[in-house]
Parts: sequence; C-alpha cells; structure tokens
Amino acid sequence: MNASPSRRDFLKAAALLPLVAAAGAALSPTTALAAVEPIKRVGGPMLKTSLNAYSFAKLLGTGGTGSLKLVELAEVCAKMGFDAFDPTGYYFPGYEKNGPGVPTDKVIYALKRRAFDLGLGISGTGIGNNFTIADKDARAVDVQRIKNWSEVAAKLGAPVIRVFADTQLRAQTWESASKGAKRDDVEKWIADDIRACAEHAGKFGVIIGVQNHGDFIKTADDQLNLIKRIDSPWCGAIVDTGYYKADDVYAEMAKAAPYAVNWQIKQSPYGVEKEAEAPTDMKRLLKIVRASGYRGYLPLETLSPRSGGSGYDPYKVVPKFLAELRQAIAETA
Amino acid sequence: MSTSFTRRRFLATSALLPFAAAGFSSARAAYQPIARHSGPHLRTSLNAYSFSDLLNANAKDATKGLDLFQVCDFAAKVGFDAVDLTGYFFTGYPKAPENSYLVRLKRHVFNLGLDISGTGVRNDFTAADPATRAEGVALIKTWIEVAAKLGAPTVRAFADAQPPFKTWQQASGNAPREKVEAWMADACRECAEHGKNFGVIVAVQNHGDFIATGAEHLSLLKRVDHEWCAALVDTGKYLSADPYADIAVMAPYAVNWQIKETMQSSLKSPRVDMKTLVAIIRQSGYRGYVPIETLSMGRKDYNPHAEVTKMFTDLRAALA
Repeated sequence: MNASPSRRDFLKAAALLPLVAAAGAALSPTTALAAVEPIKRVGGPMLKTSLNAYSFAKLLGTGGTGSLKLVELAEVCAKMGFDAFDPTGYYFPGYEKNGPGVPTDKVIYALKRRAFDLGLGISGTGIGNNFTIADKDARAVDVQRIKNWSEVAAKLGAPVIRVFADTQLRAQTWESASKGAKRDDVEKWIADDIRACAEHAGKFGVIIGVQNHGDFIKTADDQLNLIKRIDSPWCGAIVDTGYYKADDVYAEMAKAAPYAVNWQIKQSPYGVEKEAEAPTDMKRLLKIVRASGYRGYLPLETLSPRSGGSGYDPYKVVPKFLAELRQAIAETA
Repeated sequence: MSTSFTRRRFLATSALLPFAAAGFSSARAAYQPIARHSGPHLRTSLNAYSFSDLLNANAKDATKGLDLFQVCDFAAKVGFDAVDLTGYFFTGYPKAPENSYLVRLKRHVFNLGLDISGTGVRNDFTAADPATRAEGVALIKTWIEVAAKLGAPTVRAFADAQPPFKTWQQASGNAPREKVEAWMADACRECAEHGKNFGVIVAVQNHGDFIATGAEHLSLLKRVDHEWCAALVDTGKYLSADPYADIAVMAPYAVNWQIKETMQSSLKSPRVDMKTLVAIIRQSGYRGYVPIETLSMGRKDYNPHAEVTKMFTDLRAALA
C-alpha cells in the first residue's frame, strides 16, 4: 500500500509539469487550472433574490431611451423586496448595439450609488454579442465590446457579465450565421473569443458568464464543453432555466448548476409561451440549485410572450413570480 | 400668478449662487440625510477586525492564526450575508495590495455568495502636523481605489486621534476644537472627492475621542458637506449618557455600521440591547448591511468564533 501514495504523488507531480512549463510563458493563454472544475462551494447553499432588468425591456428602451430609467428600476426592485438587480447593459445610456461604446463614469457611479443607498446588490450585467458568425472582424469587435463592458461591470461592482455563445441575429441559427461551418470549428471561434474576454475581465475580478440560449448551446453538455474549452478561471455558466432544448430540461439545469456563476430563472423551461401549460416547477428547480451548493443571487427574468400582444405588465408579473421564488426558497430550506 | 412663479424661480436660482461662486458642483443646499426608500431592509455582515489577533498572528507566520480568506469562510459558515474587510489585514498594507491578490480575494468572496460591505484604514486627521494628515488622505485615496477594485462600497476613515497620541487634544497640540474640525473636514472632503471618482463612499466612524456624540459626528459631516462622505455608526463609541439617542441622531446619515457587544466597547459598559438597536436602525429606514464587530476588551479567554456566533444569533433574533 506504500507504493500507492508515491505513485499518486508522482502522477500528480507529472500532471503539474506542463502547467509549470506554461507558466514560464507569461502571455500563454493557459491558466493554472488543470481542468475547469465546479465552483468551490462552502457552507451550504445561501440564496438571495435578484431581478434581471430585461424583464422591463420595453419600458427601459435600448440605450436608456425608454420611460423608465435604470435608477428608477432599482427603486422598483427595492420596493418589490429584491436583494439585488441585474442591470443589462442595453439599458445604460451609452450602450452601442454594435459599437464599443460604454456609459460615462458619471452614469455608472450614479447607478452604483443609488443601488447602494437602496441596499440593493448588483448581481451582474450583460451585453449581446455574436461569436458564431464567420466574419472574424465582426467577432473581434464583439470581443472588444465585452472587454470594455467588463470594465464597466468592475466599476459598478457587478461580479459577472453575461455573454452569449448562440447567435443573436434575428431569424438565424449558428449554422446559418457561421455559413455552414463545422460545429467544432465554431466552438473553437467562440472559445478563443470568450477566453480573450475572460483574461481581460479577470484582471478586474469580473467573471464572464456564458448563458445557454437554445441555439449553439442546447444542452448542459454543449455549455460545459464550451466552458471547458475556454478553460479560464474567469469564465463560468449562467444557467438560463428557460433555454435548454432537451428531453429532460431539469436534468440539464442540474448538470450545469455546479458551474453556475449566475442564473436567469424563467417562467417556463420551454419559453414563456408555454407558461400556462408548463410553468417552471420552482420547488424542483430550487432543490437542484441547493443540491449544487450554489451560494449567491438567483435573478428572475420575466418575458413578454412573442404572440402575446401588449398584455405583458412586468409590474404585475414580476411580484407574483418573486413570491413564487421566495416560497420555493423557504419550502426547500 | 406667473409673477410668483418667476419670483420663486429667481429665488431658487439665487440660492444656488453662493455654491456656484465657491466652485461647489453640488446642487444641494445643505448636507442631507441619505435618501431612504421603500422601508428598512437589513442584512448581516462580519467585520474582520473581530479576528484581529488571529489575523495579526497569521501575518507574522502564515502557519498560525487565520487569514482574510479563512475569515470569509467562517462568515459564510455562520450564515452572514457579507464581510467587512479591514485594510490592515491585507497583504501589503498600508500600500495598495497587488492586483492579483485583490481579484483573488474578490473572487473568493463571490464564490462564497457574500458581499463586501466595506473596508477601512487607520488615519489621524486630528494631528497638528499637516504631513500626518496628508499621509492619512493619501492612504484613504489609495484605499478608495482598492475598495473600487474589490467592489467594496465604503472606506472607513477615523475622525479621532491615533497612536502615538491618546487624545485629539494631544495630537493637535491643544488646538481649538473648531480648528481641528476644519482640518478634519478639509481632509475628509479631499478624500470624498476622490471617492466620487471611483463610486466609493468615505464613511467617517465615531471613535469616542474627537467624535464622542451624535452631535459632534453630524457637525463634522455637515462641515465636510460632500455627497460621498457619510457616517459609519459605531454603536460602542458614543461616550454619552444615552448612546442610543446618539445612534438615533446619526442613523439617517449612516452608510455603514459597527455593531459592538457593549455600549462603550468595554466590559464595564452595558451589553447592547439588540432589539432596541435594530428598532432605531429600522426607524431611520436604513437599507443595507449591519456588520458586527467583536473585541477582546482585555479578555484573556476571548474566542472570536464564539463571540461572533453569539452576536450573530442575537442580531438575527432581533431582525426576526
């Protein structure tokens, strides 16, 4: 039995060698991780509520042009009793859908201060990007945008910034956006791009969260394969409970949960249009979250049904959904 | 009626003139309480200073005591929502720590699901020597940038004398109180102006020397008159007959707290009545973290793990 530990030690030492060699090359993208591991959780689950600003998309308006400003949304969240909110990048004055623009420090710190005075945490932020497109230069523009926004996140005190691995182009899929490229090639594009973002974000202590959005990332395996290929300690999963395309969507959530750095809790795992027939089983979801040991914020994101006309009222939908989340947190404690 | 409107507008405009002339960019007529909203919302935090001895032991010999990372682990296990990471215990203090250390600490706290409610340094703005005060300003400015990188919303500053001086009278060479308050206000304002550029609030703590009452605390803040400077209410350092009344005076201006075990941070003074305290904090509409800080107070058998857990249990009971 003596030989066994020595052999293990030897293997361990040998396994570290390539990393030591890589560490010598200061600019090597290789990180100190042998492999992407689940997030280390300590102390058992501890869950807090948050609201993703996208729930108020129409009222906020891209670039903050709507009738509701982000600082006002923060007040709405405080009033509703959320612990935090997740102000999506789109709604900041200065957001550019296709350009590198970011809000001024004045805008950022005014929001940070208002949230602080409200006792409201900032659980994350996010921007839109397209890493599945064949056009390399266009991807480079998005890499720069994410880098810029990771600095915005740091200034705000938002620990995570959401990026997409799926195409965000209207009426397109990753297959059409990539002009028929092979899945493995597209995964490499995305991984290389997100790795570059994560290295930058990591300097600011900000994590890049990759959200599943039902296109390139349909399953937890798709999501984890990508994250493992990115192989950065500053990249993790944003588990969107409404956007796995699989037979057992809850099994997908359970598989991704150990890697989660943030969430988007949706009204139905099959899209909001299915809310009436198949609402999210909040108790089942919370058991999954707790089993993973996740500690942190659980942001809700409510959506306006695509075919639903103008009936969607976040002022009504959000408090009802928050009550369900709180009940599920309490019932599974 | 239109005359009246015009007149009101004129008065409103002229009221702003002195500020414009003095170069103040603030549109506020006077220093105001923090705008509260939606009723109170309190969450727990742990000030790392409770583990002062163990943290210092670890700084001297890494095999001993606890480091900040382990204090965070403890806070998570007990059930705190946040930690308040005193600057003294950062590797490199009083210099700004390496960026790699800060992002590692920030990430550790994130993985624990905790927030960072604040950080703090040691400064002496009561000292007669301008160099001592300037040193404090420089340190707070440095730490504002550290706080910004960590995501800590506040940096604690002292308004009282620090060693080698025992009192502000001694530190100031018996300068008049009025003069010392002016020194202090100028120094705090300079720090707050830097804080504004990083979205970090300078939180001035009462420490029972120059600031021994709520009235003294408020007088200083009004003299600083800066949106990014507010109060850190130390519940164990108002040295008056009715410290709860002082706490009530200052709660509207609070951006952070230190909840102590006793009302004058000594074993001779009465233990905090957590229910009374929480009622006062709630009355002010405060929303945010209420960090606990336990002290050895000369106890040879001081066990921070046990004292912190006890205070946490008391605080949670009072919150519920």
